[in-house]
Amino acid sequence: MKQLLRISIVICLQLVLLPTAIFAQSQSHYQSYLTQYDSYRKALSSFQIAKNEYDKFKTLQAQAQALTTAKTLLIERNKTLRQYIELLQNLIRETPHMATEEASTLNTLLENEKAFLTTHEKFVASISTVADANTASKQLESHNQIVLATFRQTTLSILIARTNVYAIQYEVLLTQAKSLIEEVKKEFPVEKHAVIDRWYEQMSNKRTLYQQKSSSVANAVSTIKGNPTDQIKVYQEQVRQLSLARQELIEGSRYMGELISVIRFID
Amino acid sequence: MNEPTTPTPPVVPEPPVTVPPPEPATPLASKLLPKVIMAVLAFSAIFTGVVAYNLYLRLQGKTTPVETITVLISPTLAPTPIRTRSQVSQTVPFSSFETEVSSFTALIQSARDDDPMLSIPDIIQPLGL
Repeated sequence: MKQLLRISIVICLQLVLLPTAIFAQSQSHYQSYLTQYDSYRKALSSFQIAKNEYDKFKTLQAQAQALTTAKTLLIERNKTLRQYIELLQNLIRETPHMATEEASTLNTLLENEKAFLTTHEKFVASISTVADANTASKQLESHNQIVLATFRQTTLSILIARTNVYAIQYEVLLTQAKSLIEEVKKEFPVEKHAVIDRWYEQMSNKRTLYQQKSSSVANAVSTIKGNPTDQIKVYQEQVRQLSLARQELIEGSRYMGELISVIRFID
Repeated sequence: MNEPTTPTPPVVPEPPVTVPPPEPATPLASKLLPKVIMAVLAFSAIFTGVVAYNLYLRLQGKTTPVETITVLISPTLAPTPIRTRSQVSQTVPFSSFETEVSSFTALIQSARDDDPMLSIPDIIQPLGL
């Protein structure tokens, strides 16, 4: 009983503190990313104005202006992507219960992208003509599918890990429910045992259903690749499936409420 | 010549008619008075009888039989029967479990997938120069 009470207190603290802990440190990275994204938008706006001028007048001055702004845009784009990669790496670190192997794989993929951006950054720094700017841009464009796939795989994995936190808590509650049921059965009439057992079975079934759906989503992470449109379709479907998996846990927690009602009164 | 004359009967004077003196007119009130007195006496007798009867009943500890409305109070059944709480439900582990389940339910129901931090930047577009 005492051990059960101790476990309960620890879980209560986890329930209260965990979500805040997850998001507290990521916020500063997210703010840095937003600031950088704002710089990118300003650079894009300046480039579009300069490009329009160049397209209209084709003067050397307009060309020089377009080249300067294009270079700035490419630099800011590079920085924005780098900031987002760092944000994702931080989120991976802060996401509890993400499998170490999975976190390691995702980190490797993100590090590869960072390495690519470092090379790209050097190329951008050496731009001296409009043709160079176009070539540099095309270098990143050709890598777009891989970058986006890495991002989507990472975000989906983070979502799965976050949902798994609930599954772990659910598992602990299920264990507690089992202990309570054992105590209750000593006190309750035999005819009520069947009702209690049925509720427990329903709760266990919900856990199994969650595990099936969650595993299916986890297996689908690596299928996010190819052209961006296909990626979006797969990603959105998997997010929907994950939401359905979480719904199983929500229903399971309702069954726990029913179990509480059943064992509250003896008659 | 003297003609025989018929003797005329002697005039007998009519005896004087005695007219009874007119009766003095009796007033209506004086005619009704005895009846009123009788009625008053009768009413007084009845009233006194009723009062006396009531007094008698009171002294006997009885009240005048009055038509009383009898309200039958049938006890209303309780909407929910009184239930006995189990011993387990009064223990700390049960309360703790109950609290944790409600916290967990609230937490998982508030979970969302649309975290802005997970919104991917799709910014790699051709320059078009």
